[in-house]
Amino acid sequence: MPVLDLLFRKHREKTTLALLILLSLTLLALPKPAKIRFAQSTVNVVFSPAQRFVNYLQGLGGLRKENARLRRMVTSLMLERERLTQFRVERERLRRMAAFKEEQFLKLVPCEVIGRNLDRFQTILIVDKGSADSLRARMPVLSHQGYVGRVANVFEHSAWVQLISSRNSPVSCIDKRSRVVGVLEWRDHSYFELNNVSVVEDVQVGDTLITSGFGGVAPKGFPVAVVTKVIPDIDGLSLRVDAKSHIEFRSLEEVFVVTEEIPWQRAIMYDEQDSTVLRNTMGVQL
Amino acid sequence: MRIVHAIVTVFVFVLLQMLVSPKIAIGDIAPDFILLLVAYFAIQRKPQRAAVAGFVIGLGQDLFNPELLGLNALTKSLVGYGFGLVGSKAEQDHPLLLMALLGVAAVAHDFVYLLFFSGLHLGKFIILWTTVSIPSALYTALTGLVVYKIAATLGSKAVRTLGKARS
Repeated sequence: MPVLDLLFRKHREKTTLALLILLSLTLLALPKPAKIRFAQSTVNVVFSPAQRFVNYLQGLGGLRKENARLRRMVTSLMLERERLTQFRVERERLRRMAAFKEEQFLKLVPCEVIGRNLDRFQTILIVDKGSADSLRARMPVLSHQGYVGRVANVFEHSAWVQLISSRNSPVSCIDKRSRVVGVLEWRDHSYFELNNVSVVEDVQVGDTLITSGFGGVAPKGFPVAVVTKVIPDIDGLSLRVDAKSHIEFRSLEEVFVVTEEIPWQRAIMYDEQDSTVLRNTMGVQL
Repeated sequence: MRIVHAIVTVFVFVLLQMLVSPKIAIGDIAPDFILLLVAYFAIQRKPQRAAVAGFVIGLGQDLFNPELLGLNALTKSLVGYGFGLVGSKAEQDHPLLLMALLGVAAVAHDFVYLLFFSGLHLGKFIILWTTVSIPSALYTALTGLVVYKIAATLGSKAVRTLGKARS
């Protein structure tokens, strides 16, 4: 075949490059579920053990120091929580008297980050808990600094978290001060844009944006970003609101997945059980 | 032996990317050790093999970001091919030229990458390219030169040790 001879003998290098480009573009054009299935199965087989080893090496240095610091912190938090529990009992009694709506508490599953995309822009985390630990797709993910993203895909012993610092992760947010609602979308670096805000609404630089709870994915009230700039948009009808997240998405090591909302009454039981366990393990006398 | 060498090299560069790159990053500006890995392979191999190596390395990187599966494979195979064409000549005598080539490769890589990553959103593309890609390309090129010097020093020491052992 003269054509094949021309392609694979005379222009072998160029043909190889063309085939690789074609293959890459085909992969890019695949539907998202197929891409995810392919990537997940490969990563779980090949990379997870290696990434666990790297994380172990990373954590080894500061482990003892961190452990001592955490023990101190847990002890002081235990004392603080015991006081708050007393306040809560009193508050519950008063709320019952005033017939307020029952509140919900969150059950958090702590997860260790065992993988992340190696790109310059952090969009995906892989955590060490999966369906065996009650994780499901679309569950919200938090860090101690606020809302981080949601569970995108779940395996038996691992899950993928889609961070809010990616193109397709808008979050419904509310201005903590003025209660103005908008949709927060990632722009670049740690910067976000709050969209759908009318020009007459009250948003100011320094305002904290928290999750609104609308849409049913992110629970209400978790900080997401702080407003850094407010100017009228070119259409004259809306505001251009820039905001910055204080979460270091690149260096997240532990996150919490919200697996359940616990009713007020059960939450007390849950916390009391938790307190007993901590009392026994930490030896704290309360 | 060559396969072992390749596996060790990949392992070292991936470790550098995972452990060192975040530590020496200045904000979002960080050296891209994976790109340096592709360049390293490209210097030693013909363009065709360098392109295949770039494709495999890029695909490995894409597995951690399946939404853009194929994008790093595309950009890294292009970088591998391009670097394989010109890099091997630069490496022999002109480390500064090698550094310049690394910078150009990093900028070109991010140009293609960001076109897809930004979803062809021109505003985002320009911001990310000017504020992240270009400074990161300089950082990558500088890091590449340092890595090259270290590798050259280690290489010559190994040659001397082997020479003494044989004599």
